[in-house]
Amino acid sequence: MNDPTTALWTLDSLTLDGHEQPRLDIPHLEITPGRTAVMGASGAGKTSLLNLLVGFEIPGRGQLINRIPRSSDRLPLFWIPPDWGLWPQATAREHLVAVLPGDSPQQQDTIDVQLEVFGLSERAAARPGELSAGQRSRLAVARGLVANAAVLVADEPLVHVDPARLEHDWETLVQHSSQQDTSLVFSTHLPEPVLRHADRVVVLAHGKVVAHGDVDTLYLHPPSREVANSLGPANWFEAPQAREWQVGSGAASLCLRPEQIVLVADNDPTARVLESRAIGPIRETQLELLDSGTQRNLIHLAQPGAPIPSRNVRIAIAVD
Amino acid sequence: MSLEVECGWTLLRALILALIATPTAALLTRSLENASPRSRQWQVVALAIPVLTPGFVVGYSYSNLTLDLVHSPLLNELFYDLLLLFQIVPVGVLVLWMAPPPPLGPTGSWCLRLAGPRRLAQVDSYGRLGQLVNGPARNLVPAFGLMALLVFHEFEIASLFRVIAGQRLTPASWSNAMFELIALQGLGERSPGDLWKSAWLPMICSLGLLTPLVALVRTAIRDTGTVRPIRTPENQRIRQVAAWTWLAVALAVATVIPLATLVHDALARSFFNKQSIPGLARAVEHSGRSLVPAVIVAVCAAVLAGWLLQRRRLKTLMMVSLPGLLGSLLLGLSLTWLLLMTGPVAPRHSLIALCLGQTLWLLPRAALLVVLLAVLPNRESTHLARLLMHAPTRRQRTAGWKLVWQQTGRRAAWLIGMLCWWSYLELTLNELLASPQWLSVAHRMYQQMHFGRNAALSTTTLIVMLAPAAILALLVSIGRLMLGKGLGGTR
Repeated sequence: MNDPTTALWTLDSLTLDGHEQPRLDIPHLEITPGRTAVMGASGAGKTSLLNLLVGFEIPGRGQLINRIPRSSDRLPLFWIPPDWGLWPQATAREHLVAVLPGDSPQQQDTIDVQLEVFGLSERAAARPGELSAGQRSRLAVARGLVANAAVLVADEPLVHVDPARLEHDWETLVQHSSQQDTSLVFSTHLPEPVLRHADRVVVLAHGKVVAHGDVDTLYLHPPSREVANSLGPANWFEAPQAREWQVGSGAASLCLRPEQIVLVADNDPTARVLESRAIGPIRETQLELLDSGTQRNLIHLAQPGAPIPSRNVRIAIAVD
Repeated sequence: MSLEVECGWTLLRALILALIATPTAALLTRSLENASPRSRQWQVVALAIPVLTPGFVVGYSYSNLTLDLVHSPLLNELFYDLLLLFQIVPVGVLVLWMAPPPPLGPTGSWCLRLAGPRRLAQVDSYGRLGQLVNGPARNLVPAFGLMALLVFHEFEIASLFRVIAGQRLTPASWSNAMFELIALQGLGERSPGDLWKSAWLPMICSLGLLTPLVALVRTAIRDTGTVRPIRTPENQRIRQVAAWTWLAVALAVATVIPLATLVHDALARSFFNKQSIPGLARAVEHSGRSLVPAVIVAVCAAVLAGWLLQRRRLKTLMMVSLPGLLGSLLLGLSLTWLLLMTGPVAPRHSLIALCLGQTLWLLPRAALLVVLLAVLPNRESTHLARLLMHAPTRRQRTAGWKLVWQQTGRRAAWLIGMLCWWSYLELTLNELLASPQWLSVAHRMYQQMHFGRNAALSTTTLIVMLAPAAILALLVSIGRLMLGKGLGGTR
């Protein structure tokens, strides 16, 4: 059982050298048991960080302390690399057989179950070269789960999987790791898997940690516009803007998520709707302040009765 | 001919033969990759046998033929070149087969092609030359370099083929010219200074063959592709037929005919009888004993080259490779002189001296092979296998070992095996540096050739070829017993 209070990894004054500048520069970071997401734009350093955690790369300077609990019957760590790390000479079934911890009939059954769950039963005898990108991606995840490690590090898992089965495969990954008491550290640049599956998130930008903490807290109170946007659609107001648009009165900047905003057409309007368009479950509406003529876009949930251009509205905060 | 002129001719031969051998090796590699597992096994065996046939035995078997060619120096040269081709092409195939895919894969090349020549010209590093060097030629150039180097340093067959044609000796060979220079120095007709002045030239030529590879070494470390080229089925049949034809001719000319000549001679003299058994036993024992320094030397050269490469000490690697580029004769003489000066600390005729000399001699080849073979195309999958090696459950550990062997061990074994073979049959350094008990089986074969004991030579040759094969079979069997046959336990 992973002790939730003991960090799995502690990084101290750590740098990872790059060609012109360090790929990673992390003064201090702790990764605790549970489900941790590593986020950031392309080139932010997600893969570099995960490579360090699994020992695939070695830091140039600083300390990386690994405190993953060791047990006599369990692999401490396994990895789903960004290129899947499949063994070219092994079939899909052999990939799972190779990492199976024991020979008991129940464990052998796990292989058939995982092949079935990840839609690979019919391709069990195929080698990686004969599989599509999505199938390779699923095979790498299935192998990661069969290995039954204490910690599974997944670098953008399921990235090539088609949307129709993406959520199913994510659910399988998360549920299975929960059942096995496997801590999951995964990287992604998409907010949905983070919001849905992670307990904690590390946000990287240009090789530095720009935010680290509980997902819900960072979602509602991100420290910067960058972090706010990385966790999903956001309306970012600097302090003067918040006052001007009458959504905040403090000296701090403010992030309002689409679900926190309602456009109300009442007797006390502050802005005029210039344009509004639906983007799936949300709407993007362009507003102009009646007083100053300042314009900005606002993202909010699609409601019955879309804002009508040239109608006057007021921004109301639905949830604090 | 002066040493300078012979050096020029040898270099020209090396370049021409490597130019012919490179596309041939590429064709055979394609054929290997496309072949079914069973057919591939046979192709590997057919490729390996001509390499495993000692060159000097081949040269000796054909020496009567070359005497007949005394009035046709061109034919003599062409026949010599043909034998060299049969010996170097399998080395090229090994390099191409084991090397990681180039950084510019087939999809990247195709995208560049789609972009059109005008846009292509704007991207300097991916112009036509860049495309080649980063793409298909990335592995062809090192293969070319290694094969050219092998031809440039070959002198054993040349010395057996060397006849006087008019005013000059043919085939030209700088090593043999150097031998003659040393002999003249022994007679006092040349000063030692002249000898050392001449020694720089072959070294510079060898460096010249290796220098373009330095850039490739850098790219090999930095950029490794992940995509193996997709093989199109078109013309596969023609390729297979061409490959098998080459293999059959090579096998016949470089192995079967020379050995058959020797065996025929042995049969004619009724060599294979009860009295020959002690001789056979001695040959087996001698072969086994010769393998000991060969293995030590191969491991030392591979480990040293790999260690320096891992620490990115390319300049040091180049520096320690320089003595090997002098060729075995000059290197051996230099070491004899140096060790003679140091006297009791490192006696000049000893296993240590032999290992030192042969390691230095092998280092340039080891460096090249290590760069190509040690750069892993699937680093992530190898790391995963290593994670399994440290698993607490025995089952996962075994699977990890097996996978690591398949990913890296097999390549390393090929590398060490090839170095081992070169060292096993090396004669000059062995003669100059080994103590009597470590004189190699090649030395025994030379003596048998010298005294015309063809029957004994045929037996020794067969044993020399079979001894490493037997050890290999033994090691494979032990490995299979320990790790099981497949990835284990598939239902």
